[in-house]
Amino acid sequence: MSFLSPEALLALLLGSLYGAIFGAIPGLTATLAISLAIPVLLFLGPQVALAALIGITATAIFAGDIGSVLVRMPGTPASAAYTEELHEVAQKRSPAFALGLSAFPSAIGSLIGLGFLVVGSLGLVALARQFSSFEYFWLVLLGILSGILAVPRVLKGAIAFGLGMLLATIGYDPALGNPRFTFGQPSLLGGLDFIVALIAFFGVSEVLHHLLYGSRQPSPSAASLKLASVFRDYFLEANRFCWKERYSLLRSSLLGTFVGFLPGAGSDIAAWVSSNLRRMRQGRPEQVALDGTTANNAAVAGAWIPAMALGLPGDTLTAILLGMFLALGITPGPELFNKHGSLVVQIYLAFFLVSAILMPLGGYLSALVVNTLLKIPMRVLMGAVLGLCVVGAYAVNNNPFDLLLLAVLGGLGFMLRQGGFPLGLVVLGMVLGPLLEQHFMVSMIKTHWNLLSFFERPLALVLAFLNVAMVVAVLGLRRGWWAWLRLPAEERA
Amino acid sequence: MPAERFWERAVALVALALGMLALYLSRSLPQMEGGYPGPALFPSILGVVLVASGLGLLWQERGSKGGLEGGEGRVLLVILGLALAPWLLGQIKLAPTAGLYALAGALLLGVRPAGALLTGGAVALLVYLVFQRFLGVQG
Repeated sequence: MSFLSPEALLALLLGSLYGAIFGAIPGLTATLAISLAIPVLLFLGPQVALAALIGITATAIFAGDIGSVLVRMPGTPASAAYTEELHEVAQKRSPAFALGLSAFPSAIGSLIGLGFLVVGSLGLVALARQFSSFEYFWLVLLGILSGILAVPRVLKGAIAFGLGMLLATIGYDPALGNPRFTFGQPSLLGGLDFIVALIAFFGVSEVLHHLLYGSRQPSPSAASLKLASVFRDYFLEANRFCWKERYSLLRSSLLGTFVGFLPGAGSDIAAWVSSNLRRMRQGRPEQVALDGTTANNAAVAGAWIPAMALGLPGDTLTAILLGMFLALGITPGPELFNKHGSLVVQIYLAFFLVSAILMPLGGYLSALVVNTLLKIPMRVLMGAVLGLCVVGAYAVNNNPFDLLLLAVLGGLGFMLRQGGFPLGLVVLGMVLGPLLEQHFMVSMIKTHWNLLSFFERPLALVLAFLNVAMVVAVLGLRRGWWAWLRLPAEERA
Repeated sequence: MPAERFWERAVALVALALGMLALYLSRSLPQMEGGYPGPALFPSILGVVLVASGLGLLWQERGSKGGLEGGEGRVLLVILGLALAPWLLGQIKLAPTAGLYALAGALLLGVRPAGALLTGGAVALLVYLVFQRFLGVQG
């Protein structure tokens, strides 16, 4: 089956609509969307599952703008950077124009990002083909350190990552195959199921959070989404504006792709950087929104470059996707390009279809669906999510023991979330932790525990230097933050 | 935010406890030939990281006030309820179990009984049609 098969195309379409709905409704997140979808996708084979996943991830970030337009609440954190401006545009011009202003720049940003994804991933893979376990060790360490250092409090990052990696040590160890921390429980010999953990961390903890704090119910837009205004406002006016701002589109796309490429950055930061740059230049609300939405969608493709080529996730979403790749028996990195070359082409193609066709054409349709769905109380949706978490966790392995893990990990996820610990780093620990251990142990067994061997190959030495340079640079920057944080509140203001 | 402070400390204590447990349990793991560290190496490193980070966070948070929101009882109820899911699954099968959790969740979230019943019914039907009939999940 290929990505152009009817099943895969249908999965792409439905995944896009599903991602758009979850991305658009404030309170439902892209990570929750994927967590609930994965138990279903696992049954459908790699091509169909990956098509749906690309549909979900590529549209969820764009759809965050739909919430901004309709209810002045960003559907995803990546849209928060320019929600005020986009909603203002919807009020002053029309919701259809604001949606067009979101859909077309998002599509262009995503397409330009895709261009870099193709060129960048192929270039990086060519480099990565020369990597041995030594280089991979340093590379994985770079991904881990950049993730931990990117969060505001390093100790919280270290705890979140440490807990994730500790959870991943349960079961047979990757180098020698000894069982660890299984407490005589046969269900733990294969390790904690990544997908069950994902459902617990992002699904159950979300429901528990709503239970404690209640749900802020967004009300459907009073502004009408008249079909009559679609052609003029959504297509003509929005595209005319995009043409006028073509250089901004290009600039924001390049910026977004670059920020997305950086480990630990992602769409949120891309949107903030790009829209703030336009604000600093006294940009009008339309321009600020355009720059922000272009950048955050370009960042999605940017984050896929190191994920596909090196197996390094740039943000939480790509970390989840990498886990999904592994669950489907596909190892990202050069092996993906060597063994599954056609799959790589199909991933590019799916990205293209979502960006060029589904995003601009489906954007308005999604908004109409979302405007109707917003009438369903969030409390009802969260109740349904709890039921789906239970069935999702069970369906992965048909193992009732996984439901116990769901309860325990759901409780842990809730505690971490309430304490402001980054859940994305727990996922990163579960994905990259075993790889770090595997590459280290393989290197050590090859060289009879000669630690200096990590510095003997030129590429390994360069990557080791990059690790040190990044730690020094980030800690240097943070010293400035620390000094600012230690100032009394009045001086800070 | 007093609640965040409370949960920060709670997680720091969990990290401390799990770190110590990892260090303790790692001692019983086998070594490699030649006395080199084997499967115990990374869990031991993680144990040290978790203990040190947990202590560091507790030290940073000393003196700050923390408290609960008041409503955590319902959260605990849901977690304990989820722990009962394997038993429930054996008693009433998959679709009704999912429906029951949706119903209970909706009720606890403040949905009226009729609405909660509708939510539970809709989820049970969805699970039956999608997971059991279409995907062939047993249960």
